Amino acid sequence: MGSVDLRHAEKIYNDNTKAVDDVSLSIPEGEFVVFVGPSGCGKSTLLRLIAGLEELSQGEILINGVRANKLAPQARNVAMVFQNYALYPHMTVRKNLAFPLRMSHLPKNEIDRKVARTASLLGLNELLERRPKQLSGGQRQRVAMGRAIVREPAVFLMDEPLSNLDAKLRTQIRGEIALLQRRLNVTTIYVTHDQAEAMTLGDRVVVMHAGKIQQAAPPQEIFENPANTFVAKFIGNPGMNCLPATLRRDGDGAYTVDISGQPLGLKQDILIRYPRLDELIDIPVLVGIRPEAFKLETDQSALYGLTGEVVSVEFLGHETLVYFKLPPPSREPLGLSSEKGDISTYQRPSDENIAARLYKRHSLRVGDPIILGVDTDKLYFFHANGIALDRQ
Amino acid sequence: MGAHHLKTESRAAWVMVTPALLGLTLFLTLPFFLAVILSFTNLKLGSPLPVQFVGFDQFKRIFADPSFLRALANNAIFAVVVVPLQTVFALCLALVINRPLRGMTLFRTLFFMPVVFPFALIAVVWILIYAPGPNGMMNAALEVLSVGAWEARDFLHDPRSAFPAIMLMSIWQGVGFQMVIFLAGLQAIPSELYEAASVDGATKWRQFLHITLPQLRNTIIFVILVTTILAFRLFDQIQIMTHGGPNDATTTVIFEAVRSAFERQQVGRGAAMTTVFFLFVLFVTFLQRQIVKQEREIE
Amino acid sequence: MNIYRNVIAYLLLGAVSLIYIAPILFMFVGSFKPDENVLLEAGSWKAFFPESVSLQNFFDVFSRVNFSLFMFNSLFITLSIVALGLVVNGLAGYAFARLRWRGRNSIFALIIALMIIPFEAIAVPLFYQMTYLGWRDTYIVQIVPFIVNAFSIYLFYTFFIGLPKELEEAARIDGAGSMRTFFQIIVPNSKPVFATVAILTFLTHWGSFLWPLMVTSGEDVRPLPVAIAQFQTLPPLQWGDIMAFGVMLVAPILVIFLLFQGWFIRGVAATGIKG
Repeated sequence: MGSVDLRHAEKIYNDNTKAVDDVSLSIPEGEFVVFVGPSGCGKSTLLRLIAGLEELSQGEILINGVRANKLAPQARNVAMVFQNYALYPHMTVRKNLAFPLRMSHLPKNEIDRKVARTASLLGLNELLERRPKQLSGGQRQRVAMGRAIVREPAVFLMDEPLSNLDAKLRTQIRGEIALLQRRLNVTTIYVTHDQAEAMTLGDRVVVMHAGKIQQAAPPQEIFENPANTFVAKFIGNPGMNCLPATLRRDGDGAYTVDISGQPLGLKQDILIRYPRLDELIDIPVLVGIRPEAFKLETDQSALYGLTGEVVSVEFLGHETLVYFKLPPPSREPLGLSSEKGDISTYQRPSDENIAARLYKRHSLRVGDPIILGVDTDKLYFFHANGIALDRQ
Repeated sequence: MGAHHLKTESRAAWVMVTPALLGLTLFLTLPFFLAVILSFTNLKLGSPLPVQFVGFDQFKRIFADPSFLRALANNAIFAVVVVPLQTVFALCLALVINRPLRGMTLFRTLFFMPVVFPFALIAVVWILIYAPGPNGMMNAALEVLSVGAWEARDFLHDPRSAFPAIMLMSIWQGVGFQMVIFLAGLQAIPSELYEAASVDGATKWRQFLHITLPQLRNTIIFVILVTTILAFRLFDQIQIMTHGGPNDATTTVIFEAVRSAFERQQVGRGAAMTTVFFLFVLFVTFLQRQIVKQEREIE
Repeated sequence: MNIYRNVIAYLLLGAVSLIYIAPILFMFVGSFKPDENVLLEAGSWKAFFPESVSLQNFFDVFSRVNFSLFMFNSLFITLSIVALGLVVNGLAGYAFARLRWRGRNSIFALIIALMIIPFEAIAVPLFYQMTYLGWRDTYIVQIVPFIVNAFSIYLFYTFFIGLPKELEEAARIDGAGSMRTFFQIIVPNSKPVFATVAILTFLTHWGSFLWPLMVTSGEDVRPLPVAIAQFQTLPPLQWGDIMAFGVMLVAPILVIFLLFQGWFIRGVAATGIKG
């Protein structure tokens, strides 16, 4: 038993900042949900609201279908793993694990049994008589997990539990957490700022920004069908390039997308994937290109490509990240009339550099001109306000 | 607001603060207001006469009482002499002890030791040190130092030397306390400041003037405040060593207040004296806050 | 140049040390000397080097006055104030620093304001209050008014406000209430502030003189500082006995001081934060 429902949850702090803004989300029992977003997006506040460490300003929280707004943390039957683990420094590992059980007044033999079981589950048997100070970072993390598990709570809450570990250990324990969650099948809500962690761990990923849920979907869905440009840019490393562009259709019904004066022809089957593409004709849009959708054209006569200038090159061994910028448009875009659209945001070359992931050998250097082919099947379309165009 | 757990938290908070609030109300706030109220009455313990509101009479009377005026003057002299001497002495000791040399903690311990001694004990020992005749330790020491020119005297019974003797002893006792506060202040000064200054070619003396003193400013103001207030709280030494004598030469405000309230049972009069004392403390504290505030605004 | 400076530093400190050692050594040495020699030899080097060592003065103290009673009184009174004060002031400091409740900030501002009232300013009316209650000549009159201390609350407050919040949040989620969190999680991790407050309280009240002088008249509840002042005026005037009394008065605190002097010094330095 461990479902969590948020209904129009809102948290406003005394200084009138809205940390969580009208969040509704249903988490069924057993699901592993990851809240991800940049710092200050409200993900930790949301977790603390569920834990009962903060109090809702508006809306409702239901745990197991029971309204929990006014329940004290201990009454919510949730356990939390803190970023700094928050192990009690003056207690041994055994006492740390036993503390939540003592608080629920379990008989002593019951406590001993549960502590022993948790300890062997997490491989803590050798460490039971040590104090937190005598443990390594990974061991502390495991004890913090243990203290959450030992209570057999309805919901696990984890607030960036891996951020204090080095990269290698992080990957290892990430795997352990995923395995453990599957084994115990306890509803888990996990907060991180690391999109890779979110994508690998979550049954469902909740991307947050400015206190709002941007998208809540399984990792693959998040990657393949980002709901808006924020999600598109946030997921992936580097994220999707979102460039201002204009979509045009000529007399023959052929579609072209014009990015900063450089036209890319689209194949006819684009309408199958984007049946409502016609709505975007001749108005400002954003075109999304994943760095993986570029390929380096050795052949100068490439049909559809972008020409630009290399800004930086990051050689990563098996691949290279190339950042480039487009030259300003050399001519007035065709079909533009001044009463259409907002001129000021229209067709401006992007301030951000465009990232491309290349696998071929090359000898690019900063300042070099570059021509990159674009796989136009992998283009994304967004309204000027950032919302993704409906896709089949 | 209004969540269940906030209510329990609020209830817990009240359980936690209630004993403290009760104590502060009964044994600090109540007597404080009582002090002001009593100072406007003629309350006398064991007196058959009814208690009367006498307005400012008590204040008029104490300010016409030569003993009280002498007490005020003595406290003022004590403050004017002891505060600067003790502060400068403590600062010098702190500067020397702050040097990274062997054995400095030993000296620190030694100079701090009198702070942990009860004042009553120190006063008793110093009575003996100030013993009259050439056999007294202070007399003998002064005789050696002056190469025989010193004439032995009875320090505590001589109106000219009784109060200076008490001041000297008070400095001896109190220096360690201020030294430790100065040391803490010195250690809080970032060493980069000195490194930068010495790179800039500042001599030790200039470093002291332009880094140590300004950085220590608030500590110095605090120490001066505490010592000034201490100067007006002067009581234990007086009670034990001279009992205010000879001829009120060493009397103090608190000594007069206690004598009025305790020995003569004149509670109203004693309260008036402590009220004067409190107003002074308030004034000094206010002055310190103002100086510190000005400093912060300049920064 | 540097060596020259260091030599001067040592010379200066050495000279000052003599001034500091002399009275203390004088007392210790005097306590082992025959009574009449104490004053007689005060002006010579013999003040610091006894020719013979005897414990007679210590026996004399015990036979002339009820020293054990005074010692018990002082210990009982001071330790009661310290122990009760740690609990009461610690709890209050915690509630002000960490719990959310209506009125917290305004009440705390009042407590800060109360810090400037020196004890001497209220001694007379408090004396009157205690007389009215009939508490004179009791332990209670020497303990109860001093348990709560605004400055102690302030010291606890500044310490607790600097603690990270995670431990308390973990405890709350684990099901501990505010009281239990304080006693089982906060207290074990706040030893420095408890040591500081305990030491400052102990120092203040072990040497307390004015108040016990006012409220005690008999010997039953008389503490050591008043007792030594009285003893010093008790005929016949025997300086050896007085010095022995002094040594026994200061010995416990001196031992504690030498063992934990780091804490003492940190504790006193903590009062400097007030500015």
